[in-house]
Amino acid sequence: MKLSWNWLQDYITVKAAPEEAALRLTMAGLEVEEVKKIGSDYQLTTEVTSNRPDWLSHIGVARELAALFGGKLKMPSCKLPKSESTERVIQIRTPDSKWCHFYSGVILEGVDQRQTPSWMRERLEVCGIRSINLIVDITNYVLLETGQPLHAFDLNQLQGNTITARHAKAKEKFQALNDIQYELISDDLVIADERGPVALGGVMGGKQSEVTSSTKNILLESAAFSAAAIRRTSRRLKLISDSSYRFERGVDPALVAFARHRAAHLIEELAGVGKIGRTLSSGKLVVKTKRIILAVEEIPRILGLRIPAAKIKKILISLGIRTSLSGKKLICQIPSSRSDITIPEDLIEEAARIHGYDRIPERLPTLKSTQPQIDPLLSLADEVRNICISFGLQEMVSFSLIAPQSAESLSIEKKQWVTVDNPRNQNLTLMRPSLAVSCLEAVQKNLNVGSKSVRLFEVANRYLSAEEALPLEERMLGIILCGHKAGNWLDPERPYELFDLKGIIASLCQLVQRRNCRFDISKNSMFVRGQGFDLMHDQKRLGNLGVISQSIKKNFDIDRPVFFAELSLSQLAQIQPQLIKYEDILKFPPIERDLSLVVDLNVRAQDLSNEIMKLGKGLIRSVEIFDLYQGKKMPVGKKSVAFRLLYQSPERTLQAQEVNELHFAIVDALQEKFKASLPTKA
Amino acid sequence: MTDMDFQALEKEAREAIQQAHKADDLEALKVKYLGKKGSITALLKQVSQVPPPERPVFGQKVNQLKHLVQSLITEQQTKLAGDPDHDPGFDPTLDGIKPAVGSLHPITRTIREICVIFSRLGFDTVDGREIETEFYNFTALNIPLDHPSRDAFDTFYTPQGYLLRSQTSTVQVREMKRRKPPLRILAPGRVYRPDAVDASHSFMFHQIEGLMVDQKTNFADLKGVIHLFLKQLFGEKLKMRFRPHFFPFTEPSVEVDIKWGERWLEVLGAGQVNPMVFKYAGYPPRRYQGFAFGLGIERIVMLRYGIKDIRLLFENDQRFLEQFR
Repeated sequence: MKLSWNWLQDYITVKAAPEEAALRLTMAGLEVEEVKKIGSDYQLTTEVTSNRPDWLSHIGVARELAALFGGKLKMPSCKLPKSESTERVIQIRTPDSKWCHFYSGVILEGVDQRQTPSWMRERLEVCGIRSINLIVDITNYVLLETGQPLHAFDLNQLQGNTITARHAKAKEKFQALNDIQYELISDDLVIADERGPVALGGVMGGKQSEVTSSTKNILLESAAFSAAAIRRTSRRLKLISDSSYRFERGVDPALVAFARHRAAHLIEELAGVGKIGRTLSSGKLVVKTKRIILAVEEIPRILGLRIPAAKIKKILISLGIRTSLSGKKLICQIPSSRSDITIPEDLIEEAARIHGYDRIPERLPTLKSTQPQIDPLLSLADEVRNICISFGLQEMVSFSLIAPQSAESLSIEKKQWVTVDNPRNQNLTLMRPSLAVSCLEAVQKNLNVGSKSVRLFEVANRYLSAEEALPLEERMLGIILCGHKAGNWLDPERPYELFDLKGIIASLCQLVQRRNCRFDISKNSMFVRGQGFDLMHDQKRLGNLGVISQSIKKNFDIDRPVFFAELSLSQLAQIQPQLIKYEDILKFPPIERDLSLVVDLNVRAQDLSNEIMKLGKGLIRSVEIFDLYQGKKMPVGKKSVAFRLLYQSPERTLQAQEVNELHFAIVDALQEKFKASLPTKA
Repeated sequence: MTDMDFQALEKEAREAIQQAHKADDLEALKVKYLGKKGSITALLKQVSQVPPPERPVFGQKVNQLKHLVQSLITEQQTKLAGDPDHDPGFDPTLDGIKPAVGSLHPITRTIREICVIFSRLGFDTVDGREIETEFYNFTALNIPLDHPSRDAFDTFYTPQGYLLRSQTSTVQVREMKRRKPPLRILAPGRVYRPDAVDASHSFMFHQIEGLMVDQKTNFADLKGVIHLFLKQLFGEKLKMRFRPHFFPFTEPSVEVDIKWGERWLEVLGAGQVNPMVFKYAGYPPRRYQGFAFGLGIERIVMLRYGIKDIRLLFENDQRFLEQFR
C-alpha cells in the first residue's frame, strides 16, 4: 500500500524523519519498501502481511507509529449529520447472509459537487489514486483513511426501490466501471437494482450507475462482505481493486458505520448536501471482541527474554488492546480490528516486535543427544550422485511436471498417471511417470545448442497413481548418454555405446554394494529390440537401460543414438548391501593365456565365457573379453572374439604343461559346441 | 718416466678423449691407452723394472692415471649416448589427462552444504512427500480453510483432491507424528506453486525446512542457531537482521534479511512453532516448544553464484551445469 506521510501526521505526531519511521515500522513487521519524496510530502510503500488488514489504512499505520514512538492517536472528526426524510427511499435486501453479512446505505440528495480540495487531491495522488470527482474522491479518501471500502451510486440511475445483495444469475452480464463487460456465474455476489447488477459486490461498481461530477443524488454504500466470496470473484475475473484487496483480507466490521459516517460528514462539509437520509440497512453486523489471558511467565519461556509486565501492558495498550494486570496475569481485551490475535503467543509476538526483536539475545542451545536417524534412501541417493559425477556425468534438475503427450510413447499405462490442474501452464499437467522425457528433452536442448557430448543424470521422483491412497513417489536415477565420449590428445574421442552405459550401471551396483544384480534382455518397447536390459535383483526389476528406439527419438528430433537408463533407488535402497568379505590372496602364481575364436555373429559372448568357466575345472579365476572384431577382414556373418584367461589354483603352483593341456581342451570343446574356429594368421 | 711425462700423457689422453665424438673413436682410444698393448698398460708392465725404492710411487701414479682415463672414457661415453634421465624432446606443457568428472547441480550442492552445517548441530535430514493431503500442507499448519493460498490459483491439485505441496513445512507434522521430542530435523525438497515462469519465478522450486522441538528451545535459541547457520553459509562478516513477519504456523514469526551490497534481502522465514501445530501433531498442549524455519534454495543459489535468471537452473544446458565443477 502507498501511504502519505503528511496524512499520517493528522492522527499522530511523529518527530522522527520519515526514513527513520519507515525503518522502525519495518523492524516492527510492517515492511516499508520505499520512501519517496513527492512535493512537500513523502510516499511510503508498504508490504502488508495477510494477517494485518488493519495496516491497509492510514489510521491503522498511525496506531502502529503511536506504539513505536509514543503519543496519543487522534481520531478524525466524524460528526454524525442529522438525518432527514428523503424524496426517495430504498429498501435493502441481503438474502444470503453468508455472502453479504451486512449492507448499509445512506441517501444523499441535492449534492452540490465542487472541486475536490487540493489537500485531498494531493494526498490521494501520493497514495497512487487519481482524482475523479469530489464524491468518488471522498469514498476513496475514507477507504485509505479507515480501511473500509465504500461505494457511491448515482441514485437517479438505480431502477426501482430495492437494492439486493444477491448471487449473480448464470451468464448475467455486468458492465463495470473499467468499461469491461463481465459474464458472471452464480458464485459471484452482485448488488442489483430491479433491472440487474449495478455493482460487483466489494469488487467494483457498474458503469450504469457511476457517479459523475454532475450527479446530484447518491446512495452511499458501506457493507461487510464475505472475504472468500470476494476473493473468488476477484480472482476468477482477474479484477483486483482497492476494495476487493481489502475485503478479501478481512475488514473490521466495526468500521462499516464509522466509515459511512465519516464519508457523509466529509460530503456535507466539502460538497454541501440538500438532504441526508437515515441509514438503510439489512443483515446483522457482528463485531467480535475477545478476552485473552497472558501469564507473565510465558514471555521468557517463549522469548528467552524477560520483559517487565508493566512494559508489556504499556505496549499492548498503545496497540489498542485494553490490558490490565491481575497478579501474574495480563488480561487483554482484543478489539475487532485485531482478529489476528487469538492465542497468548500472539500477544507475546506483539510485545516482542514493539519491544524490538533485536533486543532479544542470541543464544546457542545446549543440545540433548538423540539417536541419529539416517534415512537409507537419502544416503543412497547422495552416494549415487557422487558415483555418477565421478563417472563424468553431469547432474541435472528438471521439472516434475511434463506434457502428457510427451509421455505417451513410453510404455507406462495411462491409468497409472498422476495429473494436476495447472491453470497457468496448461501444457504441463502430468507428474512424470518416468525420468525419460526430461532426460530426452535435455539431450534435445543440448544437441540444439551444438553440444557433441551429452552425459547427464538426475535423481528425482517419478509418480504413479495408487488406488485409494496417496500416489506412489519413487526415487529414480536417470542417466542419458548421447554423442561422443570426450577424448584427449592421448585417448581419442569415440561415440558412446550401449556398453558405456551398461558398464556405468554395473560399476554403480558394485560401488553401492548391490553386486548381485544382473542384466536381462528387456522387452520394453522404449528400446531398440534386443538392445535394452532390465536390471534385475532376484525376481525384482530395479530398472532398465538401453538404446532408445527410433520412434521415440523422432518425437524429440534426435537423430543420433541415445542411451538411457532408469533405476529405482527406492527399490535399490530396500536391498540389503552385501557385506564385503575378505578372501585370502592366492599364494600361487597365475598363468595367463589368450584365446581367440571366430564365431557366428549370433553367438553371445556371455555364453562363451560361461562355457569357458565351466570347462576350466575350477582352475580359471577369470575370463575377460579383450578384443572384439567384426568387419571387412572377417568372413561374412562372423566375428572374432578374444578372451584373456587367468589360470590359478588356490592349492598349488600350476605347471605350464597342465595349463596348456587344459587350455587346448577348452579350445577344442568350444570349437565343437559353438562351431567356432581359430582365426587364420594374417 | 718423470712427473712431466706423466702429466704430458694425462693431458694428451684427456684432450683426445674429450674430443672424441664417436663411440668408435672412443673405443680406439680405450685400446690405445688401456688395451693389452695400450700405453698405460705398458707402463704397468714396466713397474717391475723400476728400482725397488721408487716402485710404490710409480705404481701408484700409473694406477691413478689408469683410473682417470677410464672414468674420462666412461664419462664421454655417457655424454655421447645421451642421459637416460634427460629427454630434450619431452614437452611438459601438454595437458594432464583428467579423468572425466561431472558435477553436482548447484541446487544439490547448496542443499548439501546446508545439511552438513545442521548435521553438526544434530539435525537429521529427512525425506518428505511431494504429493500431499490438504491436511499436512494447510490444516496441520494452522492455515484456515478459506485462506487464499488454498485456492487452485496458488496450489496444484490432483483430480483426486491431493495437492503438490507448496512448502516443505508439510514435513513438520508428519515427522512430529512419527517421533517424540527432542527432535531436530531438516527436510529439503521440491515444492510447487502455479506461478507463471519468468526470470524470478518458477512453478517448481526447492526449499529446506528445519524444525527443532524440545521442552525449552525459545526465540533466543532460534536467533542464535539461525545466525550461526547464515554466518557459516555466507561468511563471518555477514550482516543480518531479524524482522517480525507472519506465518500461520509460527508465533512469534520472523523473517531474516541479510545485507547484500547496499540492500537487505530476505533469505529465511522462521518462528516459534505455533501451539496449534503441536495440537495437530498430537502433542499435549504446551508441553513442548521449539522453532521452525524455511528457506528457498534457488534464492541462495542465485545470490551466491550471481545467477540472474531462475530458469537457467532448470534448463539443463551443459554449458551452464559444467561451470559448477
